[in-house]
Amino acid sequence: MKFTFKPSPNFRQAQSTQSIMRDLTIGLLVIFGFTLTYYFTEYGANYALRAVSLMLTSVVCATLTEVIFFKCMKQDIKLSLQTSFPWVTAIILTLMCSINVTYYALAISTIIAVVFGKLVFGGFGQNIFNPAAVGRSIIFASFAGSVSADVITGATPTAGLAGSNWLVTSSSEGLSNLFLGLYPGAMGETSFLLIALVGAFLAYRKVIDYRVPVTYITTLFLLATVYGMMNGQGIEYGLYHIAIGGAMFGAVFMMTDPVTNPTCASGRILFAVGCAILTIVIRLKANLPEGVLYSILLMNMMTPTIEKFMDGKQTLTLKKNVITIAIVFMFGILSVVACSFANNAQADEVVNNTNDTYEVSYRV
Amino acid sequence: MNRKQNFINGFIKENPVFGLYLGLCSALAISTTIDNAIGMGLCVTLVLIFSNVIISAMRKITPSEIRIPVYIVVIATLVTCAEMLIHAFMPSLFTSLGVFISLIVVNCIILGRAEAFASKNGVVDAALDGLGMGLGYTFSLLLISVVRELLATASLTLSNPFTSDIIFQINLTSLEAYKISLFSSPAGAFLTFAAFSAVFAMIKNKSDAKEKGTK
Repeated sequence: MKFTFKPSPNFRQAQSTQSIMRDLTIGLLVIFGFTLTYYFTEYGANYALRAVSLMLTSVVCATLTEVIFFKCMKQDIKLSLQTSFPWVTAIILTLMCSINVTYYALAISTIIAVVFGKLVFGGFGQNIFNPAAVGRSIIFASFAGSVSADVITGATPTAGLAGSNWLVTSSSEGLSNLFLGLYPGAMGETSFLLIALVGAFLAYRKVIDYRVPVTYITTLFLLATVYGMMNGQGIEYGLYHIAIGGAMFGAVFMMTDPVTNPTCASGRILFAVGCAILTIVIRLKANLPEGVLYSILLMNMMTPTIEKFMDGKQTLTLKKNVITIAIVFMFGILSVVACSFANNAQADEVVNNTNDTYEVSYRV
Repeated sequence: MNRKQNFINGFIKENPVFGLYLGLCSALAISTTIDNAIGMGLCVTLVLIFSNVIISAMRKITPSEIRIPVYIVVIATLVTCAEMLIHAFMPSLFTSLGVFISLIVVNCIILGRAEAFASKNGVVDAALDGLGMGLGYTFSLLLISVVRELLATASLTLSNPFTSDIIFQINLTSLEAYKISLFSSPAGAFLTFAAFSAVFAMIKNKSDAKEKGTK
């Protein structure tokens, strides 16, 4: 019998990083294709052209930034680009932006995302935060007001829901439209159905881990249902929360990022549950338009802790880690209940205040 | 020669902010405008020179067990004086710097130089070291704040802190649409600081390599 001694890893997958990234790119481009068709049919060729040139701007900026960076670091540019995949960050970032973002904002945030989100940490595979999420948060932080005036789309359903204290009203977008994605919003985040299909295909090809999106969407749905029940909403209320905003897009394309994710299955489930809890808490209580992005960034920060916590338990079956996950889940339900009480107390206060002024004016 | 070296070291090689990473808290917080940066920098420089001189003068009568409390008392007295003077004569600077003037007491540069330099060297050397380090701090604050103010507001304004008259102003109104408001927030301060530290580290490494080559 012959023994060979090689340093780990000894078990190699058939698929390479290159093929994984190629599949991911194809999946993203399918979603971009849907976006183009929607804008072409709904708003005309100008809007579709704008979407294409936004995408090109971002991809070119990301690639150029990496070329310059590698040139400064005196690395082999061609080899480095092949293992760095700048276009994936750029495509995800563009799909997360709405169509009226300015070219300048997108270009600057792409550059900052690629340099400070990825390259300074040591490039692809070393970054702590998802670079595309870093880029989107830069647009939120510094270009929130700068949108091109000549591009006009309707108000997004997320903004509508957030305006009505996250309760569904008669003016809210219909559920079927929300699932199909036929509404204005971030370019690639709208269609729940298409993203789910692409996600299923990618999971079948073993490009992404199916556990993360499934856990995330289920947890988000359950937590939203708890909130809906406490506020007299119908049973379909949870569906709104998973259909609007970047929930599905983030679940499929950003939470499954193998670089910023925990490595073991139970850790990933814990990661997804944490993301869902943060998403709904940010949506219900924070003064932000959307919670998915920041929940991903915050949980990216927790990844080393989860990794450390799971250290030595990775090989245990999921059954043995179920208690931990259940505790986190209960914590999520508690925080949603707290959010609900807090929101109601605020609403009561507003009502009381108006009563007071009414009384005062009556006496005068 | 040695004194000159000590003085110049404060700018590039031992720059307190980019080289030694001291006093970052105030450097990141107040470097939003060049007015703030210059005000804060000169204030720290004055306190640093005086504290270095006093501590160096008392170094032989200070028992080493209680030297840190002694330093703190000296520095806190000087900072209180500085704060009251700024409040009296430069009210606009006082409001924009806010709590960070009193926080000079715990600025690591001042305590660090007292411990590392002033307590071991003569009065003249200590004063020169204080001047060099203080100007180095002012210089780095100025660098960060020029970048931050330009990127965040597309203009640069330098005003006289005594009368709040504008001394000079650059207004890039044509680039108004291209400003990046991220740089007025702490995140922008960190990005600017990181970029400058990288450049300074590069210069330092190069000059170190050169010195090795000549020897």
